[in-house]
Amino acid sequence: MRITTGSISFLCFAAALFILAAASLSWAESGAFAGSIYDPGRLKPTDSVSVVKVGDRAPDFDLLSVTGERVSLSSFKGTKNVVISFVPAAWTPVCSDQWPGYNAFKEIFDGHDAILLGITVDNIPTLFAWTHEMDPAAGRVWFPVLSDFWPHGETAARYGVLRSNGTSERALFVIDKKGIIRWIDVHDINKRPNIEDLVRELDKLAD
Amino acid sequence: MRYLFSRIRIFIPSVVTVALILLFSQPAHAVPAVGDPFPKITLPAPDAGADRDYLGIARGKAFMIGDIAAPVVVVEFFSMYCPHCQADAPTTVDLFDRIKKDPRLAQRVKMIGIGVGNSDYEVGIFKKKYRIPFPLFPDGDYTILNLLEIKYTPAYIVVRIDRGKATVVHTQIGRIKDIESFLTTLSSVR
Repeated sequence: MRITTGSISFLCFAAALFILAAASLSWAESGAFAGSIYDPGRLKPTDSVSVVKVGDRAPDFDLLSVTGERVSLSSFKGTKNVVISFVPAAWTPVCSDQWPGYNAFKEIFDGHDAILLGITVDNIPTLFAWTHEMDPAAGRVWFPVLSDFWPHGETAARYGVLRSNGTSERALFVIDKKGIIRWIDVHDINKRPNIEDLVRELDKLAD
Repeated sequence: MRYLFSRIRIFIPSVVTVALILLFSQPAHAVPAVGDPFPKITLPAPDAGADRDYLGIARGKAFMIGDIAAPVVVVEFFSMYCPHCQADAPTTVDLFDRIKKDPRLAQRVKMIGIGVGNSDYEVGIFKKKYRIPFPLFPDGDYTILNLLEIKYTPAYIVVRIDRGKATVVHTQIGRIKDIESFLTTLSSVR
């Protein structure tokens, strides 16, 4: 292949744009995790194919939580609205920001008769250590944190949010008391979802 | 010679690109050191009249830190998602109350908070939950954070204001562990 000045210029320009775009992404780490967060850099915003849609019955699952119990989606049927928060990986920048916000504002979920279930593909010891840092005084977060480690990413795959590298998307699912999916937000993995979008969807459950 | 020039010309874009990357990938700003000017950030006038009165800012007028009607301003950088910021919230309320009860400090020191990466809604629920008595402002797109290169929250920057000029006189990254010491620092600002 003949490399021309034009093609080199184009490649250089594209590389410069990519690097500048990546450099412009900002985040500040909570002091709670100071020095412990691995920054994977900018990632492909989404990397999965949806398999469920709003109006579908939510796939059931039965996963081990960091506190040792098994938690199934079906156990909340008829009693609680369910918010499932898939996050890509423990000890990474945006995820380490997202769940502490949910942890501090339990009243938002209580006010909508909802339970939050946090799911990642990490194993239990990793999730235990990570979520402990989110609330060192309590030693844990208030909501069940579930490991989708083995069979690896099985639940994430059933929800269509397993990425090609084995992590999950940053995704929110709102499921009503009948077990029906009412909202799906497969978010740009590099960005934290604003909590008001979730609150707006939870408000709709009361309509 | 012409051949040599044509070969060199091919690499000119590469050189320009590398120069661009080096130029822009370096932090344009760092956490301001004591004595540095505080970056010229513009904030919207608070909606609440009490907050505008507290800061001495007119309704609807965007302002800069140097416009605040006090010689000393404590700027807290927080996020509603940050566990240490959540844990430090009662301390900031305590600090505000201690300043308010001290006749000298009450006249001289104002506090504001900037929610980095937080929307207006998120700053609002943080303010409501922790009953933060001082004005909070969202920095949803990290514009302000980018000017300061703050890596960890919470962070506190104490600014001295002299004829509209804002100068950093103290920085603290992390929680306020000793409120007495912080108050002493505020008292010592001339």
